[in-house]
Amino acid sequence: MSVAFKKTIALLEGECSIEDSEELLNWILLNPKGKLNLKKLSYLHTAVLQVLMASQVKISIWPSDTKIASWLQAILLESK
Amino acid sequence: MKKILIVDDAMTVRMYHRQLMESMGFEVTEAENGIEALEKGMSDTFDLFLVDVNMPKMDGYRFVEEMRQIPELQSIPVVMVSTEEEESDKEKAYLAGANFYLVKPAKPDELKDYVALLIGDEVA
Amino acid sequence: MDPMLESFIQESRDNLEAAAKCFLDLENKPDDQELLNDLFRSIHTMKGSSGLFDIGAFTRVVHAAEDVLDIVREGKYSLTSDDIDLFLDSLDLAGAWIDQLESSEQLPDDADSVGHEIAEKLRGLIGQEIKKSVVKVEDSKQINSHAVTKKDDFDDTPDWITNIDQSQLQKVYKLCVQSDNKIAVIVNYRPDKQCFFNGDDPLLTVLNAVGLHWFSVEKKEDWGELESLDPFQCNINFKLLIAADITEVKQYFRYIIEQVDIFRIEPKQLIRPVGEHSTNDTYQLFVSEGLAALENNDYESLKRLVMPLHEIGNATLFQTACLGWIRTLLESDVQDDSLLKSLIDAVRQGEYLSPSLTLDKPSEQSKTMIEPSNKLSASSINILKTQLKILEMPCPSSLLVGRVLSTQKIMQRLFKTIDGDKKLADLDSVSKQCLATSKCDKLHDFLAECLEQYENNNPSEPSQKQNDISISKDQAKVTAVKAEGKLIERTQDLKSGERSGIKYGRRAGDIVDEVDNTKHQIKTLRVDQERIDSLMDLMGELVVAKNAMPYLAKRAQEEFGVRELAKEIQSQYAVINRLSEELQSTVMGIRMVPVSSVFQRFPRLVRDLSKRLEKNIQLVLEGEETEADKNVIESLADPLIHMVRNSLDHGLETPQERIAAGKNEQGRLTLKATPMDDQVLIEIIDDGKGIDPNIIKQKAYEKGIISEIQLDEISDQAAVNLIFAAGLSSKESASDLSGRGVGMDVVRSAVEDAGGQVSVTSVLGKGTRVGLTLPLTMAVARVMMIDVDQQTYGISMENIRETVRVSADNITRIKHNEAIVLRDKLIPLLRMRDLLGLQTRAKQQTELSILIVEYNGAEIGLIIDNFLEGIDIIQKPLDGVMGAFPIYAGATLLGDGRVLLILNVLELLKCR
Repeated sequence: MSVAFKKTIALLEGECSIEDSEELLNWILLNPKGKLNLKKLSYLHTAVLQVLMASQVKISIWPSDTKIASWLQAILLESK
Repeated sequence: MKKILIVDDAMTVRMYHRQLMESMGFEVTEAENGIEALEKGMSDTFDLFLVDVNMPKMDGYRFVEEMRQIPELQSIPVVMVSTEEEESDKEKAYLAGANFYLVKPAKPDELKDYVALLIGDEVA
Repeated sequence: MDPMLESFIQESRDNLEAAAKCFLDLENKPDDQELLNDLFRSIHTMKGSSGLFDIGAFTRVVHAAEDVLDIVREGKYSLTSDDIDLFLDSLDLAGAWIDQLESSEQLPDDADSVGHEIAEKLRGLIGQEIKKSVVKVEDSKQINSHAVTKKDDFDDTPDWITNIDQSQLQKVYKLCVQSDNKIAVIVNYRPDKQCFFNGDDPLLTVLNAVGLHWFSVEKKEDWGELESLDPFQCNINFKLLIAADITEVKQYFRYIIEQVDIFRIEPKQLIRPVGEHSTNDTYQLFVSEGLAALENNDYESLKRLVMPLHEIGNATLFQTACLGWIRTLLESDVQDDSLLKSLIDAVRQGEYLSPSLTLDKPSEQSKTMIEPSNKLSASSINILKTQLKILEMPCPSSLLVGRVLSTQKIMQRLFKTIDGDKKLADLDSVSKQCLATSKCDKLHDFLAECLEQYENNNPSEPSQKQNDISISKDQAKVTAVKAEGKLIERTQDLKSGERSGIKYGRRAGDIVDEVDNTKHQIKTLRVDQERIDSLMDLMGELVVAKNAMPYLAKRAQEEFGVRELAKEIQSQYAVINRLSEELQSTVMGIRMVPVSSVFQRFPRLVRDLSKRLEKNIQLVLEGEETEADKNVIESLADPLIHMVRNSLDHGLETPQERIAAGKNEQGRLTLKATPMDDQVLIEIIDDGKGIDPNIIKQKAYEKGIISEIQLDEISDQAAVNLIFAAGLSSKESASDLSGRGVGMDVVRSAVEDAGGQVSVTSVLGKGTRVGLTLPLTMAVARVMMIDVDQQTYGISMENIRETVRVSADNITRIKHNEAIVLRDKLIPLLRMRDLLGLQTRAKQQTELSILIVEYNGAEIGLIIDNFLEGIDIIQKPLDGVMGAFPIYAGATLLGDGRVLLILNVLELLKCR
């Protein structure tokens, strides 16, 4: 399990798998104003990426891995 | 002009192949099964056969086996086109005498690439 | 409506009807194989054809039906009545879809889910999971659009290129221009919606793609309400920019090839400067100065003008983008003035027009258009490899001719496009051989060789050239078919035409290099010795076969009395004889190596040895360039080492000894090779103390090698020759002998085995000379045929000094022995009949035929019945019982089929 949910923040850490996508989606639906902390994210499955794109959820902290951060920012900021 | 014999029982597939082949400037003749293909093959000289596998009356394997033993036809290159993509299907085709195998439906550029090479469409 | 769709609709209705009828019949005759086959075929045909259209749901259903029926057909599952109901329902559904297709050219909205469901039910019959079938359905839309519009290649740079960071584009440009095999590739990746269920993770696929430089993501359809979002349906597509070898790219995407479109794109097409146009005067100044520099081909100055301006410029400016491109162009190896000019113009105008857009000369148009495509080469290689595989497969004899001819035809066609007519003649003869032998192996080996050559010779380069042209021609046709002749397409062709000019020049250079390389390679061709040996054997056979012709001529004349024919055969023989001799000398020539290959090890050996022995010795090598057969040279190595060691150990003295003997302090050892017609003479000469014949005599007597009588009678020369006698030389005797002797009998037998002879002359106190005469080659021997008691034997010409006929009166008797005096020399005579142990006595002849041979340095005459002609033979060693008789060197087959025994004269004389 690489997703941890707090009140207003969901933590995505390590590699987020396809199973995480559904849970994350449900959390976003319940917490429309919630934000994501991706600091320790190393990879996310396409399905998870989809959820991020579709929900336009706010990212509070971008991944510290600059490689991921750069393409993820490009994708998410552009899709807005 | 280079001549191609298209052998397939499916009219739509024949049409598809015909369109592609004609767009490349080849003359196309169609046959619906192996028996018809043997007849048509003998009536003209072809540069390439494009042959489906699963056909009524005489299937693709049988057809190739037959034509490989007919002096007038045996040297003509044969491309088998089939929906099956297993290695064993390909091998069966090669054993029967096919020279190349494409999985159906073949992408237009792929089909054209290979046909152009196999038919020896040289530069004038 | 698209005629193909129309055809599909009509055909499918027929097939659905036929299938339905089959199912109804099956209910009565469930095991009717023919019925099952017909049924299967109807469904199969629909599956195959539906793949051409964007009707994945339909394909999925018929595919599921086909898979089930395949199992049924194989007898692994029997359909129940309920099953048949399910099938009939499926057919009804498919029929309804066909109707819908006819009216609206698309499937109903719920087709995906309904189709999914029914396909699952069908597969449920045979316990198969749905996933498997999904793979094939995918994005058939792409294929359809291709098929219908015939749009098959990427003509224009897509506008989304401008979304890519300029610096990234420039990086890709540089990579592609500077590398021969890297090509800019655009990939449109449209993952199947269900792909997650196959375990696909498209994002991962994208991120791991070879040579990925940029990618973007976009949704397939609007996301809609978040509440109804299905995260397990893939709703995003990817666009990728890759710089890599296109075959690698294809390789990488091979498992999802239906979901991707891969386009090649010229580096030049990447030049798409974008940004905000600035009206700053600095840029206008740059334009005039830059154009002037370009005019003078002064790229350095241009670079200096560009650099600062580019660096200080705001990255969002259009000008900065242009300057970045100019910089990129200048930093790559190939300069393209028209591009540079267009870019400088763009700085001024605020709009970039690619140079070809401004060119519209018909002459340009007629140029061949070259698409650089490794793709084609890969296809060619793929086809050829397939043929290779085919040729490896077992082949029933009835199909062999067809297999050979059809693969040959394909090879012919491909070789022609790859390297012209070069290989066609060889190919022709190889396949003829295959037909003659009813085996594919030769053609297979030939193809394997060619393939290796193509793959090693950098397949994307010269071999590519012709392929390129053929595709461009094809493309030209396609363009023509596109009828509308849109300007954009034509200019596109122009662009590629022009770019081909540049590429072409570069490639021509490469080809020249290539040719040079091959020249070098020819100089030192490495060939497996086995091949040359077999060539040699064949040549030998030819020599023997040739020998049959004189017999034939003789028979023609004597038995059949056709003199004319005999004459003609004779003259033909002369021709063949000449040719075979030339062939022989050519083949021999291939095997010739200079003696230096053996000599070269001696300087070191002599230096080390003389140091250890504390002797001062100068080694002189002469005639190193003399050539002989490789085998001969190799057989020479060991004896030579032996003799050189002997000279150093026992022949040459220490400096003190030499000074005492009044000689030069430094001893001298000479190795000398001299070519002599068909032999080569190797001499080992030293100026040492020589061999004392008296010590040898004494030793030989003690060892029982010579009798007491011989001890008195033997000449000094004969005594020296005794060092070659077996048994004289041994370790302990070596120290006793004040000269040489260690293993000299070994040396002799090694040399004789190679068909040579060894002789020694020595002057006491002055030095010793050992001479080895070796044949230039060991393959073909020239023998003289002799007649003894009506039996023909051969004797190697190398053994024969001369042949004489003398009157019987000239024979002198010395004690029990016969001898003749020839040129004032007394030569002992032996009778061949005695040597061979034949009981019969020769008729009393007034004239005797005598072979003078050399034996241990002395001449001996052999009386035979008659000399016959000399012939070239390939001597085969005897084995079996005959192999035990050393007096026979071997045997050979004569032209008339008789076996000729070759006598080993030296052995024969030993037995006396």
